[in-house]
Amino acid sequence: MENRRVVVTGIGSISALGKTVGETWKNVVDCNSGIAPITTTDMSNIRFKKGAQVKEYDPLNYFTEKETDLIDRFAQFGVIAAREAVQDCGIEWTDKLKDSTCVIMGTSIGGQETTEASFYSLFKENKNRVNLFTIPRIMPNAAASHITMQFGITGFAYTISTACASSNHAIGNAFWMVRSGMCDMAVTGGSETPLNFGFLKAWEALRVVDPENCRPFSKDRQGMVLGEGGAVLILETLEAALQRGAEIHAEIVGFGMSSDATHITKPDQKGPEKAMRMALNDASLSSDKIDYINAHGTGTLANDSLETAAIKAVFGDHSKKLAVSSTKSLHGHVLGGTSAIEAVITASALKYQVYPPTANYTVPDPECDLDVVPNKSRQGKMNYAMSNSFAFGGLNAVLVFKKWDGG
Amino acid sequence: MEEEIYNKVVALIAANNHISPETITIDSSFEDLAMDSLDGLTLINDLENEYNITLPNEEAVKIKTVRQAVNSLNKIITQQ
Repeated sequence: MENRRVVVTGIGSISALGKTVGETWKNVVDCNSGIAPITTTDMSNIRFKKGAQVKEYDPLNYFTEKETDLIDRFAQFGVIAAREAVQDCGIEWTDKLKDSTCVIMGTSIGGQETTEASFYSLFKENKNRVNLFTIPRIMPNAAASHITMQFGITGFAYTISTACASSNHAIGNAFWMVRSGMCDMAVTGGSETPLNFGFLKAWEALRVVDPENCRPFSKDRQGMVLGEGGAVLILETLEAALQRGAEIHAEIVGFGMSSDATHITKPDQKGPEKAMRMALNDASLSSDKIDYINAHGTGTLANDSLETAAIKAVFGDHSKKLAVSSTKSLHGHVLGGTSAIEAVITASALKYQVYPPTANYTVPDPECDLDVVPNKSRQGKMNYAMSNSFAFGGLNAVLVFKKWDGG
Repeated sequence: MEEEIYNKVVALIAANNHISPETITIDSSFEDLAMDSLDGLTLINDLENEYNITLPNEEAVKIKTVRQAVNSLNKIITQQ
């Protein structure tokens, strides 16, 4: 079967940048970072204080009390983003479509908030029983499962867990599934809620969290800033989208992945290079066509210089012409949900022809000497954009998007 | 104090990495001892627990040898 063209017709997002795509995109364009002191966790014994937390979030604005008993915060964010994306795409569900739609979500740790609360009651409060809903709240596939139930989707559904690349792997898999004809529509993305005491202490131990702010590509960067949230994209064939007159945000044209096979946390240059090359090859695109890269750009010393070197190796002289920004400086590092938020931002960048900025940029680093769109978004022509994700464990996933120009 | 810190560093490296203390000297680099970045940070975290001190991240990630570990610890403890 010939490959089908795949387009994004719905997007939804909830993060520190806002509880809708509209709020999110406005804050990207205005370079308003969502990073602020964490208030949902007692931070007094943690060396860093900031995170990218969803502001003024009340689950009862979205779910009944009974539902919040059953659904952990990470899955709530997945469902909220899916609702927005489904509404945005304007689909009218039929039994046939529900049966040929897949749900593929990403998360790194699943219901971490529930894990900590339930086991605290055992270890610290000496209780003999945990909350009955502990397992269904913790399980990493909970977001995908609740999305299927929300819309009655009966096609295949699963969750991918590849740390910080989880949702790029999820979206890439969904793209291939729709392209190949394995399904007709995909609800795909990811969500994460890592701002819990035990988990924050675990990140503190690794010493990769910047105690001040997330400053990707800046010489004085000291690490990432963790964030929470989720995002979902609706993918369908171009033919179906045109037939029903759907609004198209962007087209997905390529996906590549690789594994470093070197170290469990230390990144390697070859793996990211391979994933970027594979994504370009999958899109049948020469590297000089890419105008913008939404970088993995964590803000760690190791990642940003290594990603710069990998981009130079893949793009050669063209690396001096393209723009590369890290929107993690705005929405934080949402781990398994981060690539989905970045995919929403990248699709919007193509739609509105705006280059998203790298916020909090301070001092140039000779080892990160790319055009990082510092501190201010930029209007400009953009036909193709790439979105990078390189995870702990050396698992890399790269997507290539194309501006929808009606042809 | 410096000798006590040295002995503690050697004991922790030996225990954490399952190697004999005799193979460790003040001149050993973590690389010599087949310790990677995570092994190095584990040592620093253990030393922080042992002496109830805190090393800033930017200082902790620079420690790549036994001598650097001993000197950094000694400096912080004597300043207290």
